Amino acid sequence: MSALAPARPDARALRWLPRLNKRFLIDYMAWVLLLALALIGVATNGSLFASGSNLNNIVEQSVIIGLLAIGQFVVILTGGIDLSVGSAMALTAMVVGVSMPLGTPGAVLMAVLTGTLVGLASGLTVVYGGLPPFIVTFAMMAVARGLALTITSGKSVQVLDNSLLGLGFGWQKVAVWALAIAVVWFILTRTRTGVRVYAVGGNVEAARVSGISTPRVIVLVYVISGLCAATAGILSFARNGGVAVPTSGQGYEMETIAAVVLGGVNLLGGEGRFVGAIAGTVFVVMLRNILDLSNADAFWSFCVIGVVLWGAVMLRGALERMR
Amino acid sequence: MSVELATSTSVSESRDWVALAKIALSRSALWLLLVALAVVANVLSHGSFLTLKNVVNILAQNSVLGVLAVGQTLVILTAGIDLSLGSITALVAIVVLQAQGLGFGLSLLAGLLVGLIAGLVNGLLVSVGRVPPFIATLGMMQVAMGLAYVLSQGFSINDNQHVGLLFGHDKLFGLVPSLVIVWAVVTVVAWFVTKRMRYGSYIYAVGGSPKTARTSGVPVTKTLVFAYAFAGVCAAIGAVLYVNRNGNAEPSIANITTLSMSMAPVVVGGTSLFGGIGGVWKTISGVLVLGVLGNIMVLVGVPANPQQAIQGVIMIAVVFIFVAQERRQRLR
Repeated sequence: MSALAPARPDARALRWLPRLNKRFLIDYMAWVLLLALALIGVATNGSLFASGSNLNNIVEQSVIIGLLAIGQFVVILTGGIDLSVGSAMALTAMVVGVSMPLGTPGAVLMAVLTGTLVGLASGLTVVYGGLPPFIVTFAMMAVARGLALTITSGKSVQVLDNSLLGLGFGWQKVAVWALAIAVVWFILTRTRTGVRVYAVGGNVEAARVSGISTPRVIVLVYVISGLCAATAGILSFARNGGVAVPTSGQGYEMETIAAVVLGGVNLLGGEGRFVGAIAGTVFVVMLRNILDLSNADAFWSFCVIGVVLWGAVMLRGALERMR
Repeated sequence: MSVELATSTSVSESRDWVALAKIALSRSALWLLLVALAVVANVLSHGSFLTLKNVVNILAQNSVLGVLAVGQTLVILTAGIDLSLGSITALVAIVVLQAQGLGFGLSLLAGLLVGLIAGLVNGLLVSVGRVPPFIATLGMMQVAMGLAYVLSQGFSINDNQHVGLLFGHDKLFGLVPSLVIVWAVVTVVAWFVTKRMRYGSYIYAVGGSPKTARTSGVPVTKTLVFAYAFAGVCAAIGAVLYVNRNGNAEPSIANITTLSMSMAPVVVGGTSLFGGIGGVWKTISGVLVLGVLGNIMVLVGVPANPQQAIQGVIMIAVVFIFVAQERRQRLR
């Protein structure tokens, strides 16, 4: 007893230290890496990288990946995964393209409907089919892509109505992202639904026993992801100058997963800070930007993102196992 | 008394028969389904489906996917998944054709080596790096596809040196295409490995329960690396068969739905996604059922573009049916 006594006040005084070590590092991993990457950007490309217009570019380019990453983040919080975000985005862009004759509100409504349906289909299959989410959404990736290609037999759709184009550029685009961030942040941190999402991810059984309708929560997160994909689809349609491309968004699921994991989310669910996912998004986009500025072969970015995904998961795992 | 006894035995006997019939039916259900589908296809095609030429053709059509699915079976038996096999196929096909100037042997060797390395990386990430299998192989899907694009710059490469013509012979006895024979050999090797070799039983043990396997002395890390490496080599062999069949290769092979979804025939065949249950022969029946189903889709006249969506739906439907069935069996 007496041998232990002197250790006590120390332990109490330093109680924040182990928490700072592990939790702090996981939560702020993306910010540290983002800072390091920015320094690399300055070191390799100097003023070209640090110029106002380039930084502006990075933020603008982050919007679409960022929107998809929001949905991905919410799904992963429940211990799931959504591999269909890129295809769902392409599908909604196509839906917007072909339904523009209905008028702008009609087209946006159709996009929202498409996103909701894709999310509902994934969520209901995960819940009531009892299938692993990565299988369900891997199949959904093919289904949504197949439908996007089917709508026009694989051709792009160009629309002359330019009422949506403003959304694809400048502050409007960033404002859409900010709005989505605010809404989801509010849901996750200020409502009961948010608590339920974390609870389901932490322990489904415990959540169910304590009276949470777990099927409803799980379906909801996939619908949120579908809606994020729909928003991204509208923006990508506008960004391309009113052209919907059925093959767009390939590999975006990878970028969003890498972004979210870099942001410190636990792939098993239940843990993760929303702001981390945003930092992770900017990291992924900045990495691509630096590769572009360095005149690297564009195809290399596929490989680099894959390696970043591996690195992020292993780094987070290593931090998690650290004492 | 004696009458009662007699009836009770006859009841239990008939129950035995029913149980036996049920087991026999569930064991061979897929092969029966295959026969039924073949009959349907034969009717739809006005008798031209069940000809020797067409059957051989269907085997040849499905042999690339078949080889991939055999590799995928070993990975799924460990309770893992390999999403990257389609991309590795694309990368190896490009490598083999880039190296075709070196001659058949060397270009083949280079391709197999690339497949092996990709599989090894997957296995090491999963076992040593403790990355969840679908994340590790999703990353490899991207990396391999990226490398295929970097090497080819997105262009299609022709097989000018005929490296895809296996050993210079395209057909055995003028009938059986060599790629069907390669598929058969790969299947037999995989069957031998899983059922007759120590690493095979390790694979089933790791898939059944990694903890139990580890405590009973199974080298879990080596087993996982072995399974993913085997799958990588299968993808490389599949790539050579692809070149053999098509005479060219392009990086977008990675996006062919049937190739990227090599887990579908494995699950349809009855191998459990949760590991430890299933086998290579089952996968072959799964490949053939999906192959004939695809053939029927063509016969009915489904255009190419919706097929990707339909394949996704079919995949999720069959996985759903088989998982539901498995759950019922576990509850018993």
